[in-house]
Amino acid sequence: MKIAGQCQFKIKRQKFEFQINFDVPQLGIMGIFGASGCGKTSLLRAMAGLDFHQGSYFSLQGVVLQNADIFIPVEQRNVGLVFQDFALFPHLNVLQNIQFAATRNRTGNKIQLAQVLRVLAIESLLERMPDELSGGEKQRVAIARSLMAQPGLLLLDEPMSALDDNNKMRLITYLRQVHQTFKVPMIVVSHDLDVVTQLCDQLLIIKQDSYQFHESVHQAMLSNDSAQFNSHQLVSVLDAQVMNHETAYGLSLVQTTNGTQLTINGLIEKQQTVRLTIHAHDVALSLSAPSDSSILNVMEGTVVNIKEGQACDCLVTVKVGQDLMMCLVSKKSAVTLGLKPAQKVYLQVKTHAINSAGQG
Amino acid sequence: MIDWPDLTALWLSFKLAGMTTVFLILFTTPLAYWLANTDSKAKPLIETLVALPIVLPPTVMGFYLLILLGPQGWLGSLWINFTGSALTFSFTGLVIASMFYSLPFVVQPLQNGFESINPRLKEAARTLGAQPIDVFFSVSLPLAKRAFLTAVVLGFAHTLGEFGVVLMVGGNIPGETKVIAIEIYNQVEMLNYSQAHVLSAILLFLAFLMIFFMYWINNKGRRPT
Repeated sequence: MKIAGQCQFKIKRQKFEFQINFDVPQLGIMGIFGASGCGKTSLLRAMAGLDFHQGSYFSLQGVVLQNADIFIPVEQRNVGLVFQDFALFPHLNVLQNIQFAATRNRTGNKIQLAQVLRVLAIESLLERMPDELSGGEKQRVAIARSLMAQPGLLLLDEPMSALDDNNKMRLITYLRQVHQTFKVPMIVVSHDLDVVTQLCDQLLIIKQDSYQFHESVHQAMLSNDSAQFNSHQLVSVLDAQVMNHETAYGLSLVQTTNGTQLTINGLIEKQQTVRLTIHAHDVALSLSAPSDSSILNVMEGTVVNIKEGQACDCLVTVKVGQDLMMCLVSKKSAVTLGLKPAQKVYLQVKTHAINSAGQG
Repeated sequence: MIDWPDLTALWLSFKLAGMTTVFLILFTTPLAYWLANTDSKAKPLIETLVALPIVLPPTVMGFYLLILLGPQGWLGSLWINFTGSALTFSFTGLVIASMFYSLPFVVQPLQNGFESINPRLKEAARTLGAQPIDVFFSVSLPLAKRAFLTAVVLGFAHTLGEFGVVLMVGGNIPGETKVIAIEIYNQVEMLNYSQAHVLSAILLFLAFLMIFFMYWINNKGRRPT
């Protein structure tokens, strides 16, 4: 993994203190996931230089921003921060808000205004005042403004918290495009696992006073079941490419990087890559292939392992081709079907149970 | 028939109120900004000193100002050394005294205005590369413009009605220190009720107009959020 920055923060809060060390990846969107109040926002504020925490170390692109002797002030850090409440300047219109950043940046103009406006689709909003924007529009303007400061690292604090489900998925698409277009390292803080799994490539999980870094969200989900998440949060994460359409039914046929084929809702542009997330509790298992089911995705696989959950659930990991998928079934079903490792099973997933950012 | 009084006193009051307000805004905006943003332990002490003129009888304030500005006083003797003239019983002395007298009416609205700005906005400005002084001019100042209007109107109107402090440090010199409130007192003393009436009515009308204007603007521009 190519590294953009190194963090060793000693975060002190009124009630607790924790030490957290991790590297910021150069490529990919890194998620920081944890319950509310676990210190995620404190961590972002410390990285941005808004709060000072004694005994911390932070370097970005080879430049030391904080150590025992150095504390580079906020305005010289080149670290963008998109606040949870957006913090758009109410006395300036959209363009003036964005120009506020552009006129003050001293680090070249790699990121062009026209491109930012296009990628975030805010060209038509430039004359509006912030209080004339919807939540999703405000969020995009705030992101555009941060980008125009030419940040070496972009931090987003709970970017989805003010958005409804539809706008959440749309913003995820925008954020992935922003990352692909401008190649800025991004860190997104969220307490919403659906957001993190749809959006992020790497994942830092904070739980009480422990934390764990995962180079891939896929692995984070597969390896951290009961310890980090409750079983109903668990999702299988798959990256896929759109291969074909069933135009008449509004469906797209996709193939994962490992070759598994799936049918998903919506006509997504061919060749486009999509992130698929499937909740373990949305996947059903059977021992023989169903012959007259409404369920479009039926996949043959072999059971890899079975883990009994806290309550009446069993988490079954199934290998489908080269992909691993998680399936949450009741203990009763597991016993009735006699599930055991290496057993051949059929997974069934409704198209509606497959979330994919990019559907818009 | 209205017997029009001499309006020199009114003009003098305007000049005094105008200059006092301008100087107060210039000199106390940094103080108000500091008060709004500081965690200093000295804050309640400074706030108390700023608020004192609201409750002190003008004669008490005037008495101490007389001592401060007088030829033996700290500021008064300094002034004589530099300019050769005394501060007491002069227009300049009145401006300085009025700045103390109207201090809370300017500082408090400004402080409230700065305090009501979402701190996130200032932080956002800094993450976008703005130095603290830049943040003040490009974010805090424009967002506090209502507070400035309130401070200007209150400071001006309050100075316009000044009486006790002027009498203590400035006396009753026509064209120099005889402001309108003192002129009204003189007219009443001389039982010229008609002149007192006209001058009082002018002051009442002006005060009403200024305060009404302030509330009107402050209500009009407030967008629902």
